Amino acid sequence: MSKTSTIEKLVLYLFNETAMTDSVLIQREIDNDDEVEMEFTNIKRAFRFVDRALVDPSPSSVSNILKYAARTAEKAN
Amino acid sequence: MRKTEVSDNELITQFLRGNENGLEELITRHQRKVFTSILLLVKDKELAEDLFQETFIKVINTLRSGNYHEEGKFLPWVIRIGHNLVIDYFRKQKRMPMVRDTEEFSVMDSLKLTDENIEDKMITNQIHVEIRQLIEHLPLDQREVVIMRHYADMSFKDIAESTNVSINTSLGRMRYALINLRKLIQEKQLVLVK
Repeated sequence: MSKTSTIEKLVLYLFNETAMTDSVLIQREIDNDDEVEMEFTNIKRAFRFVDRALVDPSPSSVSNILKYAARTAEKAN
Repeated sequence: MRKTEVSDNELITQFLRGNENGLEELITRHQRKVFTSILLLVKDKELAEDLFQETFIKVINTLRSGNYHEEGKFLPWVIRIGHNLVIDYFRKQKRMPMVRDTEEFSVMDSLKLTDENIEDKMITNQIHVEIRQLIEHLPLDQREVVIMRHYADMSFKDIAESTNVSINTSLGRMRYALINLRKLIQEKQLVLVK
């Protein structure tokens, strides 16, 4: 398995997009191959970083949406 | 005992029956992912706030018109609406956001986030800012696939359809995004403190 396809397979595996048989094979590779295990750890780490980028909108944006919903409710019903 | 979470579909039904708490709960539940998805694409907080509001106004109108048929896939649907509004916005402006090399980013270059003298909260906030900047530096097609797969929980098949490319291309973009992110994280010496 080339380096390139390893990343793609591991990403598919991480997001549960692999068939059951492939999942078993990939997990076996992760368990038995240090390089693949390291790659999988790095991919998971990268997505943990991506999670850290999450940010809330301002409360006024949310309030504007709710006001719009209330204002237009009568017309909708 | 853990309280069972009301499903998105139940909240939608509540909202359509006139209970606006249903809408409020839907927004509270998904606002971070929807807003961040928009922000990472437009790279402008004020514009992202506007498009976030437009996104949910469209959501409200579509729900009320009875044209919502995405049972069980509310978040991906909302993120797709936001994504389309971003595309429309830049189409009207006749430009797409370019990779920027701002002064702010250069200043951050010298920042060592593991400095023990900085308060934890400040470190966390800085890390959030830096990470967003790292993602914003990815090419648009790579940013899109990260947002759609990781935040919107869209399958690579759905992403491929939504962006008019093959599944292999979507996967390839994700691979490059990961390689680039890893490089940037190493360059910036970013570590997860928690």
